[in-house]
Amino acid sequence: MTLANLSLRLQELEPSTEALRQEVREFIREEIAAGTFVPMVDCWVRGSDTAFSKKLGARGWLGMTWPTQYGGHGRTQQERFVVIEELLAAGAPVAAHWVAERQIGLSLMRFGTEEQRRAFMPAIARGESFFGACYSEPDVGSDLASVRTRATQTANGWSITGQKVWTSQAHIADHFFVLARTSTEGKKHDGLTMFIVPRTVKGLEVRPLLLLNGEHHFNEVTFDNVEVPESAVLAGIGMGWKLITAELAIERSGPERFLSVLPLLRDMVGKAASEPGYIDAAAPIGELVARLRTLRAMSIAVASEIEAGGNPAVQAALVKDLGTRFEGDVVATARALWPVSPQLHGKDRHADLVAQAVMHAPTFTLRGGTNEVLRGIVARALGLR
Amino acid sequence: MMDNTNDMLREAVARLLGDGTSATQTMQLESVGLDAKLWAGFQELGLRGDDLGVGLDAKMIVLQEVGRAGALVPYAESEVLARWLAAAAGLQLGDATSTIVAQVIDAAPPAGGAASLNLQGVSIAWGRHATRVLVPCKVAGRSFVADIEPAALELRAEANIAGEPRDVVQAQSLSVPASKLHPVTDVAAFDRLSSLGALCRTAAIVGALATSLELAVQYAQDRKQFGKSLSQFQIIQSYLAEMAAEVCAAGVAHDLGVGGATRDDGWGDVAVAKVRAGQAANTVAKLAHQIHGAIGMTQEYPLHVWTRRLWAWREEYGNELFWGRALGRSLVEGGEDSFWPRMTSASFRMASEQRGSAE
Repeated sequence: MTLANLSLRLQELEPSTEALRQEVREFIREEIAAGTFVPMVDCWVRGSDTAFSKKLGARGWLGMTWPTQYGGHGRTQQERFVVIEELLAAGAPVAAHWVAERQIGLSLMRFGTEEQRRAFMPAIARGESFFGACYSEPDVGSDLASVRTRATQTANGWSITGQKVWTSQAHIADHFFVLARTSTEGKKHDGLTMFIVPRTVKGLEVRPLLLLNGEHHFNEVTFDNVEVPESAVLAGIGMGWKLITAELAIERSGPERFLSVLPLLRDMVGKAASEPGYIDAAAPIGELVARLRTLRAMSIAVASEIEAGGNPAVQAALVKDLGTRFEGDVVATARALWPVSPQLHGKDRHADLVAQAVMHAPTFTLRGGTNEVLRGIVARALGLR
Repeated sequence: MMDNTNDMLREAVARLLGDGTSATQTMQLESVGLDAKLWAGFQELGLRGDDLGVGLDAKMIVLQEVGRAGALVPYAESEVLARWLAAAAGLQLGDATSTIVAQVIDAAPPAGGAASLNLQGVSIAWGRHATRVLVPCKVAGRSFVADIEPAALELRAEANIAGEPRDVVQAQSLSVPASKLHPVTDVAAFDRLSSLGALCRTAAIVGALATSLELAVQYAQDRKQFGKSLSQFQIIQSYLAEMAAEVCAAGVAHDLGVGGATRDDGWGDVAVAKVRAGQAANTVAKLAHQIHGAIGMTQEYPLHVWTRRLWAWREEYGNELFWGRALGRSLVEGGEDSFWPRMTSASFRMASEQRGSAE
């Protein structure tokens, strides 16, 4: 049993990040005043606005931690944390670039060739290139090692055939990361390879998978004998699993795992303040705040550990489990405090935010590995399996 | 450097507790309400005294270990809370076992040089074992610490549900001579007392949570049902993972609170810590018992040494409702626009602190 490995060391943000935070807040104030966006729930999935992404790129707020020669800005993980937590808390439209900026760039940095880095990273950092992650499949779900999409060697490279689902923003993406099976022999984890595929190839089709509320974020992407050159391989044949697990550790612990409903929570504070009987709301809000403040500290601790070269994959899983359940409880608390008729786009701001949250809440504990999968990871670290 | 010193301290205290106590011993001594031999060991190790040169963070490490071991010693009251009040009043306590009254008492103005304190019905932790009881009081609007000998209090022996002494004052009225009334120069010390108590309980909870999880993991691996270990059932793995997440979160929240209290600029994080630790105590105690089944509910098995502590400590010095309400009020009063800036501030101040700093 390794309880010590499941603890996190508190890290404070450098005081130097404060000026950057104020700069982001000022930018957000201006954008809201200009009518660019209305704060929304789950903005990193729902708020796709390529023009907004480009503005962030121009400010140097995409690819912040990447080296400058690849279009990055050589800033720290903490600085990036500050920028993204401010954007998320504001409910700003950051979905278009989210996947590319969060994980694709880092994978290119860690595993890509010099050529691949130079080809893709600068455009992502400018907010001009958007990626879709084609990982899961209809029969795969959270069990990514069971991927069936096949890539077979051809005279000039590889030919990919298969069906991918849950690819966010595929409808605006210009490139895809595609996880495909290059070998059926040996351990199934070892037969996976990641490919970089441009949208323009022949045989690639994108079809919307509309959410239950009619919104379009997810897509199905099919590959029918899609031909790619050898240079499309990322990190080498059979390296897909290593790449995926590295991405997931980063993907799981970010502030988007507990800030998806922050606009609703802020609205709840405002609503409570406007009512004489707010004393009823004080305790439930306070109990949520205690969780939020703790989650934020945990997330900063994980980011700092990643920066220091550690691999806090288990803690990341644990933060996501706690964070996504917190998000669900914010919605539940809102309902417990005030009667509401959830309604999208109505005049009642609170009813709108509740409607947005209610119809997205189930995905909180599904995306990026279901909470059941996450608990499996923690259980393994406890020596139980 | 500081971390290194604290690591060494933690090891030394853990060794003392590992050699000096056990769940069985704690159970046997419950009727007495003190592990006197172990408490003497704290003295020998240099953990008791006025000017030990150890900070609040170090004392919280000791308390975590006390909670982890389920030890029956008055470290929080004697070495943290009483020393805090004593320092505020410029008092020295030496190696006395001391305790405090956990609320500020309004005293009748002195008549003939003595103040009159009514403490009847007040609960005093570890009172029967203390040689000095410090009472924070207001006399004619001024703050004092009254230094009282427990005999005068006519204590009735009572205990919390963990079997720790929580003795109740029976004496009707107490005359305290001026020589035992020590003026307090640091007025904020009284305001902070309940927060400091909450931080102490949080530290101990963090320790007790870790042991509860360890016991549950061990039991799940040892116990076989339906032909396999409990730990092989997915639902049990899920419970244990949930417990591990709670233990981790409570530890981080506690560290936040220690930071805010040590810097004396973020007492809001102490409230965060007590709420979060209370939430963790609820989940961990519940699931630990669920995993242990019926045996965990008996005195034959030691889980209760820790779960009864979790249940007692989550209430003492304010439970989730109390501190949640304080946090919520402070944030709601601040309004919607200041909510997020306060969430991201390095120093999470309560409304009372903000007023203080604005003046």
